[in-house]
Amino acid sequence: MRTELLALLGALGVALYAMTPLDLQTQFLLAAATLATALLIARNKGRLATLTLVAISIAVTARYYFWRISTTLSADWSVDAVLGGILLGAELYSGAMLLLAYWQSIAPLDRKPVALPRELDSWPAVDVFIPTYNEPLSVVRATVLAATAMDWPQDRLRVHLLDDGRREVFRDFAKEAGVNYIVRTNNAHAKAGNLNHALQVTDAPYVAIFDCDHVPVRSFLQVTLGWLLRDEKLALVQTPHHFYSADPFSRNLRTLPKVPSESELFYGVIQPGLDTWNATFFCGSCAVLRREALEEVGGIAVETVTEDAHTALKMHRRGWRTAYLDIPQAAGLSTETLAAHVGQRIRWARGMAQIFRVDNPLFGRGLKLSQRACYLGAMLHFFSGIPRLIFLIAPVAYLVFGRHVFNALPLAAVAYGLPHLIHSTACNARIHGRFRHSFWSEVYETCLAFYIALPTTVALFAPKAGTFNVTAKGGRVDAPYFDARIASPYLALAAINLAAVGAGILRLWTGRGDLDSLAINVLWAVHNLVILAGTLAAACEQPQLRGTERVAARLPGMLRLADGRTIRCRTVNLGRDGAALRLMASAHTIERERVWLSLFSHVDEEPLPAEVSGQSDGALRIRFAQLSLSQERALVQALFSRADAWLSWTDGHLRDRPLRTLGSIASLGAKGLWKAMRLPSRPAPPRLAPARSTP
Amino acid sequence: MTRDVQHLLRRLDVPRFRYRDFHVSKRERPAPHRALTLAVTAVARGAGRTLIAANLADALGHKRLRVSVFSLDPESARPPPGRYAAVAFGAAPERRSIDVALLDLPLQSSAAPLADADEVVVVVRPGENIEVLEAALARLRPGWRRAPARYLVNQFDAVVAAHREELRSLRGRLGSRLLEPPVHFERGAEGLFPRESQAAADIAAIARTLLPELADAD
Repeated sequence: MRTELLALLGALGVALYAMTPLDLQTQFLLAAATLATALLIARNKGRLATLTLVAISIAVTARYYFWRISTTLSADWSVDAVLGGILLGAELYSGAMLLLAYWQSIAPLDRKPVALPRELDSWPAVDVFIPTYNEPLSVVRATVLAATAMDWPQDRLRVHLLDDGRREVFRDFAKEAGVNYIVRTNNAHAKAGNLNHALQVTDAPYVAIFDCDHVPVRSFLQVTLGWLLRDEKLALVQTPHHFYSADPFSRNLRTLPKVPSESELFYGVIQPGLDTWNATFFCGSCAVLRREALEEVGGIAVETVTEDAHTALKMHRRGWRTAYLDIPQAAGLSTETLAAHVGQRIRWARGMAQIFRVDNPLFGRGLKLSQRACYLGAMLHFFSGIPRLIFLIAPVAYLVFGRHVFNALPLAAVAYGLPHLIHSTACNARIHGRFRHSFWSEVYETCLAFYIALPTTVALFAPKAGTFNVTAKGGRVDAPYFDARIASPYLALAAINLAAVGAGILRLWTGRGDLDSLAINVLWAVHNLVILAGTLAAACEQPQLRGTERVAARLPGMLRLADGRTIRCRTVNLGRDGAALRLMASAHTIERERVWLSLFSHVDEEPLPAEVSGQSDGALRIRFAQLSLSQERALVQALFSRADAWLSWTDGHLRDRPLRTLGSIASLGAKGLWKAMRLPSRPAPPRLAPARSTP
Repeated sequence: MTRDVQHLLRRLDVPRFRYRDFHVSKRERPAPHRALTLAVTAVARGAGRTLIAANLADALGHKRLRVSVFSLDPESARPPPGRYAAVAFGAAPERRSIDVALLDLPLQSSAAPLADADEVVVVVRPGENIEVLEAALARLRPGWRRAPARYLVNQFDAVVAAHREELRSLRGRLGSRLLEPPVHFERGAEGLFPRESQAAADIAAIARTLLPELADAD
């Protein structure tokens, strides 16, 4: 009751703040006073202060939109009015997204795991599904071996390899590794269909699902299952997708570890935030689901291409609960190239738009208003393509064509608009700063804008229309190059904004146009250019060989030399292919000498045969020889299975300071452009991945 | 519980959360046991009895403990010089106070010193017939004051599959009576193990297991 009263009072306050008419001078004073108040409150780091700041930000934004709609629109059908209307539409979209994002992340739930019963006999059986289609065996091996090594009673841990590729080598490997191999006669509904088929031929009450490159740590089941045993209406427990290889942005821009990677916002803030409203959704992997709940909704959803979120939505509609544990208990590979990243997001965007159309969370039974808002935010997020393009082009209207799309005094626009921008940026930095630095969202969205605009729009009107996954997964990157094909829309947009800035300067020179309008629009175009430069820099692909990703793990080990001596060591980094070691004593080893590396982790010692490949920075580099299955198992367990393997993944990030971040994006962009001009602009090698059959 | 799980539990910070470690449950660490007289013994010649005694003594000596090694075997080699006092067979011990006495003797010799020792460490090599040893120990044991003997595997080479197999079976059979880790084979080791060698690290770990309180007293 008290909460409702407070909310009502808050809403009244916001409305009062938003709608009180003031003259321009007083509005400036109000803006300054509001900003000063917010700065004072921001000194306090508590939850209440954050809530107050969000309320202030909403009030300031509401005041802007109220002013924007009530005074800057002209009601005729002139070109200016139509263009102005389009811009307002884009603005309204981002205003709505701001509100929904606040809603999603205002109170992240810090959920802790629950202990399992003391008696081992009461631990349930778990089916572990590892679906695969066309991924190479080398990737799948680690996942399978680590899945079998999870700390769970062996008689109740059933690992299944679900091979839609129906490959003999996979069958042989499954047999060798001692896991069940499941195939079906067709590939209907792709991954969702693969999982549904496996559900029919298995029967454990719980199902853990790992994408074939997501390698679980050994504590995964003991950390996640507790909640499912305690809460009978809990349908699933999701854990974050951690990536042990750098995503295309981090790699191409070399921003690790200072800048959080792209996925951290979602798994660090949004999912815990959704958990508060019981709206955490399934992300397709690294999760445990209750079979009963899955069966009630007819298995994994097949109507859309984002089957995971849709499945969770169906469960929520039927009263099931979901949970999110923000403890990385598995790790996988990022997409290799920007093109691959874009391709993946096109699928997500299209799927979310499909759900929005065929099973809209705003309507239908079973959801609370808070859950509807969460799902709405998750889906609308992917409609950012067109609004983003509008913002990227908007300054052209005035600078090049002299169109007044914003029917107001420039100073008034500053008095109302600037506070809205400042408060929302600062508030987001406060809530999200640890997981996403300011303005990076714009870089990420700009990368996708052109590519998701069409698929989302089409999916909205024709949800069953054919596939748009035309952007093939990139091949492997052997040498650095500038992916001009994926970057062509950004190049065009950058050229447009550059032309706009030029036209603005020309206007200033010739005295056509007023100074204030020119300044605002040129600043806007320059901001666009900074973001676009960051985007272009991200398209400078840096080489990354698959299978050579290294994990910075410091494990105790022993190097056994060919002559029988042993030297203690610690790993500097470790990968499937080799390791770098810091030795306790200088080794006068000969090049290409045969050595054995023992890793002292939680498993029995199993020396790994290797060859010395060189020495650098005081570390000895070795390359593993052909490993036997048991040797590979030992390596995988030391590398991926440690319970604490991914706990320190967010260490080393800089604190977010919005202006510094904008500056660093600008400098990264400038460097990237310089690089882009000198790199070959050959597009990704035309090694298209075969398209998955979609119905 | 191994370190990765300890780290995880620290980070989780859930007071009543329990974890069951399926990877180390078979080789739980024995309870701390304070021992002042340690007997290092073996049946086979060449198991490395004197070498282990000397290295153990040196490891403890580096922890600022006063250690003496008593050679109770006329045929035993003289231990290499290290941070301890060596007392040859038949020689009168120096008149000085000691923290730890290490007795170096074969199992076949007089049972009296073994019976008085706080801890008996039987050095074996991988592949040695444990049944024979157990039978010999069973004959000796009735007169002992202290806990049963514990085994230490010496010259372990994990590259040899048979060694790993042997260690696994010893773990299954002996449980906490097997001292961990095994001391790794070090080529050409006749004196003290080189500091950087794995064997030196293994000895240090075993010293901590045998004398937890003393070995940590820096």
